[in-house]
Amino acid sequence: MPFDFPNRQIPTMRAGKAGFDSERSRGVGGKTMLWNAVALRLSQRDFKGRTYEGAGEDWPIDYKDVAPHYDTIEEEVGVCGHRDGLEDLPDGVFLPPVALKCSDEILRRAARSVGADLIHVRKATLTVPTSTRLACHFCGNCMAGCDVVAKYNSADVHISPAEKSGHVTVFPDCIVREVLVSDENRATGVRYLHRVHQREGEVRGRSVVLACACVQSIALLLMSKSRRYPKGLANTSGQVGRHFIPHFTGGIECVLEGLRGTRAINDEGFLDHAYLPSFMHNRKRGYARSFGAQVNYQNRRLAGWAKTLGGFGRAYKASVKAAYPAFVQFTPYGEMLPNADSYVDLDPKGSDKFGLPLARRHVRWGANEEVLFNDMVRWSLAILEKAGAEVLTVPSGPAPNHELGGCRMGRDPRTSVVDADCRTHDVPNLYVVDGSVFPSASEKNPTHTIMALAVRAAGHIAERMQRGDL
Amino acid sequence: MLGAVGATCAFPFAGDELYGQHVHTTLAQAPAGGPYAPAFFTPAEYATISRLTDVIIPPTDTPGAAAAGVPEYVDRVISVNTEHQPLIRAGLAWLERQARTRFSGEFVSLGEADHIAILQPLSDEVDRQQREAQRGRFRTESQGKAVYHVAITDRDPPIRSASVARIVHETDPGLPVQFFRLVKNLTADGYYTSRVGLLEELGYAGNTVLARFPSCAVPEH
Repeated sequence: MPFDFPNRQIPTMRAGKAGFDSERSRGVGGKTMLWNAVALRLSQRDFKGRTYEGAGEDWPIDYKDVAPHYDTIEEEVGVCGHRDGLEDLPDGVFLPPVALKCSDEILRRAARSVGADLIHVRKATLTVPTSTRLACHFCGNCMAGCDVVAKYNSADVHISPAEKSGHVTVFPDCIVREVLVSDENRATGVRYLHRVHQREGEVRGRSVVLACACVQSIALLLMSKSRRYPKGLANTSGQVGRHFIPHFTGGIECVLEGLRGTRAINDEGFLDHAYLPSFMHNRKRGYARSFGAQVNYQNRRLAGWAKTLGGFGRAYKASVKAAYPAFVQFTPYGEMLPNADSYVDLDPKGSDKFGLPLARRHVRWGANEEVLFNDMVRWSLAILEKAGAEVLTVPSGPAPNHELGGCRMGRDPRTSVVDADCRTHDVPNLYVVDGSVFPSASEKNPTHTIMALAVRAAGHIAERMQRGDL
Repeated sequence: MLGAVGATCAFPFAGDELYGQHVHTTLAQAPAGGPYAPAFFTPAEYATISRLTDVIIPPTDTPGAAAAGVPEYVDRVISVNTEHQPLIRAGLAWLERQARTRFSGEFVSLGEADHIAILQPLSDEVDRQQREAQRGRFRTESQGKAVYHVAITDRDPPIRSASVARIVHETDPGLPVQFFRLVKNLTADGYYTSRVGLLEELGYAGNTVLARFPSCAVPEH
């Protein structure tokens, strides 16, 4: 990779075997250093899925409660996109969108022929420079880290300036192992292990906010047991880890005939330039919720698909070269309904190199997911067929993706972990602000909403501090 | 337990069930002079595997796998991903036996026609299995129309664990096909991530600076 993170440590996901299933980025900036930056607003349908369809859950907030915070984030970090006027994908405050690729144009015509559409993707990547950040130069290295901070990452855009203000102290290399709670049921700080110096330490504060990325926040609560919280911190409801609802995908690899054998050009771009918004949510169908698709989401540096082409020798080599400019990945993302058998817990036997228990993810796809998965792949294949694609590989089954749920937001402390302000029901100065708070997942990429909720929670915390409440 | 995510999680490339749990050691810079000394293969095996990669991706108007450094890549991968060692060693032994009994020579000394005679049936079977796996998995034809269905036979998501070939015995009838599949996969991955493969052969043009991204200029699109 052209850009590397020399200190990047990816823990093992399976005991005794190197390797990982999902990215865990433990470092300043977390996974924002590596994300793809797709930035989509959730719609009222997403916030009120149960009201709309009688299935799944509602959030205890409406779109209008989050809209001003989407605005703030977009103004603060810069999101490019096109105002499409779609009811189910609200427009935002956008920088100019990026042009569609040739393959996007071909796919768009095909999508429209079945009543769907392809729009310009929306990303937290600058298309015009600011006084401190350059605009994207389309090198295609987005997910290995953006050298020029055109793509948003929290370390460069938020944390570093906050440090320079003097109001924030960052403790890098400190692995938090426990959230501390007083006898008066106030979070007092965290206990950590410095992973280089191998020394323990504590940080104290007036409030504690967990934003470890879904599974790690759940794990931290579960490992912060005490007499008052024998099942884990903020877990009197027993809901911590429950209703884990990751997105599921059904990625398809194909070759567009219309581009096969053309000259390879520099169309890396910033990876995917188009998005296929949900179109099934208003149609008669045998399932609840819906799917959207990330389109043409690949960079040209890796031709892992080359080994799936048939034959060997000169003809094989020529077939890979001809397919290279025409290769497309098309990945629908589906929304999973919460169910009681989908949860995160701690492995009683395994621990990582820091001695922290490993988190285990248990996902059970329900009947709705089966039907939805089938339909989203069926529709994807139909669109690809209309686009003149030769399909190379189809998915063997749903694959989990964005991790969501486990500390879900709700009004009832018996069935939820945090309230509408991301404050835990149990501990009045303990907050969770990441994907774990989602009571329902939507099919849309979650980070933009996580960031908007963070703005909202930050405002709430500031207000309480000013009132002398914290 | 949650299954492997492979490609579709964060990375836009194909998951590989055969060796999705690669161990990537940090490779020291190669010394300036001298040939590569294989860590796993014997010198004879290394010569055979080098030729085999060159048969799979030969020199054409651009260099082939051997010139691209693929044999070294294969040795490095196999030396740290030990679960593949029995298969590749047994496969190479099988290959040499084929060469000697059918064509009276070592594999490296045979000509193209003889190489193809040995490998084509293996390649055809690998391709057939791949097609079958795709078809059985998801798509069937019914009266000439594609019918898409998904059978999720158990409630757990499929564990996309490394479906490592358990074949270790050289008389196992499935050995040659599994061996070819492994070597072809390694060759393709090694070649198309090499400088020769990616830049010269495929014409990768990214990792550079564009002031703006040009829109599609082809009216037909």
